[in-house]
Amino acid sequence: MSYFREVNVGGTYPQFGTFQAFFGFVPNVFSAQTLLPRVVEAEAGIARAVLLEDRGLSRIQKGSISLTVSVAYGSEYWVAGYYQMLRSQGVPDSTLNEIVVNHHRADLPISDKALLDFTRKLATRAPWLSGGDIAELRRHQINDESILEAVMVTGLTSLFCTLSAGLGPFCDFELKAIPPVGKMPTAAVGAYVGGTGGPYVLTVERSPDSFPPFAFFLNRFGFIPNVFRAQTLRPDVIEAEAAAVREVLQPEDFLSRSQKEYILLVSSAANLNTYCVAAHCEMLRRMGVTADESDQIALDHHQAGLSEGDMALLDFILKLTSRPAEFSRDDVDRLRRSGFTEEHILEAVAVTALNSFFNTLQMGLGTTPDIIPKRVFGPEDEHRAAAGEHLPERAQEDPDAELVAKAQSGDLDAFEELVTRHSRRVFRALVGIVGDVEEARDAMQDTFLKAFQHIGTFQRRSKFSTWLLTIANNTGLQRLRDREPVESLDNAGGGTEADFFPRQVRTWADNPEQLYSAAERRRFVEQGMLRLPAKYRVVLVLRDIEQLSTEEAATALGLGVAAIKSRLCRARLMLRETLAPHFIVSSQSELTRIGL
Amino acid sequence: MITCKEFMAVFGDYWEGEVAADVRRQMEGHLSHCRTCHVVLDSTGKTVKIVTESGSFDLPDEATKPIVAQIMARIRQHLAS
Repeated sequence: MSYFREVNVGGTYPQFGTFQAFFGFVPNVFSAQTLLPRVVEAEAGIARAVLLEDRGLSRIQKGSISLTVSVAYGSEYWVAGYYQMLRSQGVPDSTLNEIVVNHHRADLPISDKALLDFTRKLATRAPWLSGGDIAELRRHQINDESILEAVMVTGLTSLFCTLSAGLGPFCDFELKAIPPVGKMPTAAVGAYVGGTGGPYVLTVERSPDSFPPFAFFLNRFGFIPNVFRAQTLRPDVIEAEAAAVREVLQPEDFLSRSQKEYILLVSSAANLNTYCVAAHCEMLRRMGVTADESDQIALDHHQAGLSEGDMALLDFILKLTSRPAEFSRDDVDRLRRSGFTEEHILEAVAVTALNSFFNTLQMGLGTTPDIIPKRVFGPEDEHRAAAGEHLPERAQEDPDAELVAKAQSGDLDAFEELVTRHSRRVFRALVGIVGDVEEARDAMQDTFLKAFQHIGTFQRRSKFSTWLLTIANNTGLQRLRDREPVESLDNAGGGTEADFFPRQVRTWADNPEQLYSAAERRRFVEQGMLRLPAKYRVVLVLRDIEQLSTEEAATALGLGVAAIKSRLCRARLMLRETLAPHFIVSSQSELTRIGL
Repeated sequence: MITCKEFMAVFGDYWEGEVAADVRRQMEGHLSHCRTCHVVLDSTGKTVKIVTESGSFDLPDEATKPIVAQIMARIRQHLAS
C-alpha cells in the first residue's frame, strides 16, 4: 500500500475516526504510518481541531482550500482525495474541475476566490505574503477567525502533502473525471517580506498558569514562541499542536533529539523560514551545537562535519521538502542502505511534515522571531533552497507524457486528445502574437499540423505544452513577417523597457473588478492588449494569461529570462495605462476619500 | 533617497521580489512618501489581477469542437496525400 510496512490496527482504530468523519473515508496515507501510532495520534489531534470544528470556515470551504493547495503542491494523491471529499459534500464536478484548473473561473463567491488566492500564495510563495494580502481578505469581510483557520488548513494540507510524498501511499480513488492539474493564476507576488510583518490576526492574552500548552512550551523551550501566541483565538488547536510536539518531536526511541532538530533546521531553511531557523538554532545551541555549526547545517549540511548517516538523512529531508514531486521509493531505499530502519525513516517523514505545518503557520501569521536570527533569508537564497521547485509549475512531470508517447507511435486519437487539450491555449498565444482573432484561428491549424508532422522529433526536454507553444510562436512570427509593415518581436522598436514612465497616476478603486461585469472587464483587457506592441503583448499572454513560468515563456519565445522579465514589467505598466481610465476613483469620491 | 525615475528603473525586479535587501528598503522608503509611485504599484497589482481573471481571448466551448474537427480533418488530409 506504500513504501512502509503496515500494522493491523483493526477497523475501529479510534484515530481513524477523525479522518473518516472529515473525508468520508480513511486515506491510505494514515494507514501507512501505523508502525508509529503516536504519530498518527498527533496528526489526528491537529486534524480534529482544524477540520472538524466549524468556527470560521465551512467544511466545503476547508476542502476547497485544501484542494487548491494540493494542486499547488502537485500532489495527485491529495487532489484525488479532496476532490472525492468535496464531491461527497455535494459540490458538482464542474466546480471542482474549475478549482483544479483555475479557481478564478469556478462558480464560487468572490470572497471564496480571495481565500483561495491567499492560501495558494501561502502554499507557494509564503515569504512574499504581506499585510496587504490580509487586508485584501478583510476587504471581502473575512474575519480574523476565518483567516486564522485558512492559515491552519493550508498548514495542515502541506503537512498531508509532505506525508504522501514521503510515504508513497496508493491513491484512495482513481477519479478519471479530474482534469490535468493546471497552472492556476497566482496572486500578485509583490515584495519579499520574509514572514515577519504580523501578527496578522487578533490574539487573546493567555497565561501559562491557566493554559497548560503554554506551560508546556515554557518548560520545553524556555519561552512561549510567538507562533503559538498568534493562534490564541484557537486554544483547541494550540493544545493539539503541543501534543504533536510531545508525541512527534520529543521521543527518542528512533531518531535522536538532535537528529530531529537537524531535520527541522534544514527543512525550515529550505522553506526560507528565518523565524523557524532561528528557533531551531537556539534549540541546538542548548544541546551544545554552536551557532556557527547550526548556521553551516542550515546553509550546506555537507560542509558541517556531520556523520555520513546524518548527511544522508538530511539529503533525504532536503529533497522531500524542496522537490517532493521527484521523491520516490529509491530515496527511501537509499536511506535504508545508510542504516536507517523503517521506523527511523517514517519518523523523519513525519517530523518534516510537521515542520511544514509550523513553517506555514508562521509565514501565514507573520510572527516576529523570538530569537534574534543569525541569518535572515532573502529571495537571493531561493536558488540554494530550491524552494520553488516543489511547485508544479517547475517540477511537475509532463501531464501529457502518456498521450505524447501514443501519438508518437501513430495513435491519431491520442493526438486529437492533445489538440483538444491545448487548442484554447494555442489560440490565446496566437492572438497574443498576431493580434487578430481570425488570423489566430488560421494560424492555429498551421501550428497543430506542424506539431503533428514533427511530433516524432519531440524529445521531451521540455513539456509538450511548451514545445507546442514554441511552434505556435514561430508560426505567429512568420505571419507577422509576411505582413506589411512588419511588426517585430525582436529588440528593435518600442524603446527600452527601462525608459518607460507612467502617465496615469490617479488612485484606482479599492475593488476595481467590482465596477464592471466580467464581460466588460474582458473587453477592456482584450482591447488594451491588442493595442500593445506584439513583443509586449505575447509576453503578457504567456505569463499572465497562460501562467507560464518565466523560464517556460523564455523557452517558448526563444528569448532570455532577463528579456522576458523586462518586457513583462513594461507590458503590465503599458496595459495599466490603458485600463486606468476605467478603474480610477472618480474625482468627487477621491476628494471625499481624502476628506475634502 | 531614491527618485521616482530610479524607482521605476527597478520596479520590475522589486515586483518579483528580486532586489537586494538594501535596495528594497530604499524602495519602501520611497513608497512611504511618494503617492505617485504608490499608485503605480497598487494599480499594477490590480491590473495583473484583472488580466489574470479576465479569461481574455478564451475560445468558448462550442467554438472549440469545430476547430478541433477542422484541424483533424486537415491532418487526415495530409496523411492521405
